[in-house]
Amino acid sequence: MTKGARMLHERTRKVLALALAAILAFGLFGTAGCTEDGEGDGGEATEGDVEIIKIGVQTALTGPLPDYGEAAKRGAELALEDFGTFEMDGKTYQVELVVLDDKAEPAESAVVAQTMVDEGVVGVIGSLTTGATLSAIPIYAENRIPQISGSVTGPKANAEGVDTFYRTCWSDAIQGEALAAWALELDAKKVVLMDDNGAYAVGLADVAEAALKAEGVETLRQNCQSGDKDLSAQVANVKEFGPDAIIFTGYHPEAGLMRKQMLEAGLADVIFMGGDGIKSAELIAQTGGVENAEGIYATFGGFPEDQQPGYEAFAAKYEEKYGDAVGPYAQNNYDAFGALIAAIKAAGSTDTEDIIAALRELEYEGVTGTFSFASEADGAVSVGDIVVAGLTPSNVPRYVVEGGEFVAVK
Amino acid sequence: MSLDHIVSVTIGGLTVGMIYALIALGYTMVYGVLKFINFAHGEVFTIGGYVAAFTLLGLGVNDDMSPLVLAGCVVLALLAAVLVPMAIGFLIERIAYRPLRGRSRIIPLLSAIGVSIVMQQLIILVFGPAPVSMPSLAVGSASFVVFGIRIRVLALVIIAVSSALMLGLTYLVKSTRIGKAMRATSQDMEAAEMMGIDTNKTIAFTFVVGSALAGIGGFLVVMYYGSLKYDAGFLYGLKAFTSAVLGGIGNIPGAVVGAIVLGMTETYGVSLDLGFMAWFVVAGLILGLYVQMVRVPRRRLQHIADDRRTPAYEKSITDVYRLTPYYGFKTLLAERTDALLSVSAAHAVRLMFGNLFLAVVAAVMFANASVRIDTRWQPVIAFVVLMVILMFRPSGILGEAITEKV
Repeated sequence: MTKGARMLHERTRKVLALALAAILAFGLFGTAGCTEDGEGDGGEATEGDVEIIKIGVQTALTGPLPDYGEAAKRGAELALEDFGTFEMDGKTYQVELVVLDDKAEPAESAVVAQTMVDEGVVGVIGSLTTGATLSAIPIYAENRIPQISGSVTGPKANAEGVDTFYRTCWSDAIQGEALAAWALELDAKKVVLMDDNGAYAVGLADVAEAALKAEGVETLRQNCQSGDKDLSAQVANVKEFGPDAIIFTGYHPEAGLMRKQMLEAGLADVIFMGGDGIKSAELIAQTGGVENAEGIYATFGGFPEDQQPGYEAFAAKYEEKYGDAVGPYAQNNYDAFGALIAAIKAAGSTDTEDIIAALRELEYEGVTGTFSFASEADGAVSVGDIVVAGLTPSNVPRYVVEGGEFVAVK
Repeated sequence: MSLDHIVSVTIGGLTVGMIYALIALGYTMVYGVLKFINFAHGEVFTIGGYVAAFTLLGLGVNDDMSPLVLAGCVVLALLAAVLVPMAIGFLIERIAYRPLRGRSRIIPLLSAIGVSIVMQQLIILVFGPAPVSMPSLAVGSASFVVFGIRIRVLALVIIAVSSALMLGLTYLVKSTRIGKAMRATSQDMEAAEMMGIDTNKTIAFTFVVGSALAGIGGFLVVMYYGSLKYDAGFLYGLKAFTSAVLGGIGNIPGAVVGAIVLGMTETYGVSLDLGFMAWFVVAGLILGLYVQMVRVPRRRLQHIADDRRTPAYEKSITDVYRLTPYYGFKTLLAERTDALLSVSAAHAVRLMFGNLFLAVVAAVMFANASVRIDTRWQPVIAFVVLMVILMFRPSGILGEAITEKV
């Protein structure tokens, strides 16, 4: 072999090694995304008259909100047990779940959405968070796949007027006003609004801030990044501003740290409030203990549990199966699945275009009440928002942490 | 910004910076010896934190324990948070890096990224995806008040412990046998081997020490913030790596300085108001005036050709700079006879406008002193500070490590 050829050979080997390593690395990235694939009794259709259809569950099992993600998945699983097998035109259909994890990250979410499309799902339950959903919506819209989320509350999600996005929880346009109204009732004259730079938190804080300013309340806007640990500078700002209340519109990991660090800085008398993003049992652990979390207020994007007609039965089933208290938005995801199946039945077809048309006409009686989806935009309501009797800011449920758990405020 | 505010933000920045520093040391030491960035280092930190948290949770610490037992538990957790990362650091080096040593530099880098992802998934598998949270301990949240300013004891402990560790590390590298071996390996691995230094052992030692420091960092974070998530190491690792580069990669004191600068930039970036920022502009103005009045005229005088040097000519050059509004413009408007003089005049006028601009900016900022900068600008501010520092000092604040001759 000549010297040149040997060098070439050497170089080829290096390039090959690099390519292999790269493939390995990307393989890792890829598989990191999907922790679970259609578990349970999926498989091929064994008898001629049973047809398998796939429904996607796009949620966030890892990432910052595994508790919300797990609850959403369980909601869909419970619904699968109840509605997963149905008859239509003399044929038996069986649903297979495709559960994918988007880590609540926009980039990951687009990949998951594309995977769902490739899997050939007829509909998707999810995703979990507003920020991540924003990058999935155009993909589902383009491929005409209906998407029903049980927990995306951000008004931004369907502001563009797509007709494939539906939700069974309430829009933050209502929740934000409810938070502002609550702060006013608590006689707050100066209020800090703090978000985490994500689409959900910024949207909710914007609505609340506008409502507070309209009432002449002095506000200060603060923010952090999701994943931040040290909030001492924000705490110092809050201390200097001297507010009566702080409305933290992000999620519980940062909310818990903020509360903890505020207490450590001696700001125990500032009322701590938040939206549905902090109303999780995890928050109490994040603040460093029951006594730190005591007195935190939170609103939620749905009726109070005692006003949800099917809640008791749902909670009993949930606790029996998982041995846990019902996680946030589990019943909304259960309803999302139920509504999707109802739409398929109403359409009499598994063609996604027919399902979308049926969803807009559908009236569904679920755990959270009897609801339909808005088929046209009207004021704060966008296409796909839940329409349900009594959906007003004054009906937004209020919770307070007492003795280590969220209890409804009467 | 009130004094209270400034002190709390400064202490916050120092605490954050010290934790970055503990992690940054691992990056910088490995780079110093192997000229390679160990991207899995952030995960070693996370493991340290998780091990500490689970030890404390497993021992069931609470405030009702007697102080002695509690102290024992904390020491045990610290030990676990040091020993486990040490073992993991050793294994990573042995399994993922040593077989690739001597290849092109990009290959261990890829391996490092792969290890980082694998470790993150392992943390999820072993500990679960939910963040681990510690119950608040009275010891952890104790604070005292000086002149009306509340200071957390643990913040001071973090600053003290980190400083002590860094001094210890400097001693280790500068004045011990193994430190000497590290420096030799870093300088020239082959030559060191020929001198009878076991470079494999030295490199493994470097990884073990760096991992121990990261583990202590994880322990402190768990004690201070009370919670940790499986991917925390990514962000901390990124910031620590930035600190190491900012201070001069491979340079041990540099990593500490870079980390403190980064920590301060982050916390100040969140709580700046215009009045406070104006002082930085004032500092810039003072520097600008110094340049115009002292530094540049002195330089210019050296450029005068010997045959033209007269006291009067020297004075005219100095005056162009020091009394620009009159002499500068006068020279510019006069018929150009002298090249040096007219170039100096144009230069002086530019400098003057620059300084005027700074003065106006400072005045406007002071006039709006109470306006707070939107905290969303924090990343931008941090980025600009880093850019400016690296523009003027491309190899970092303290320069890249040049190992001194052994």
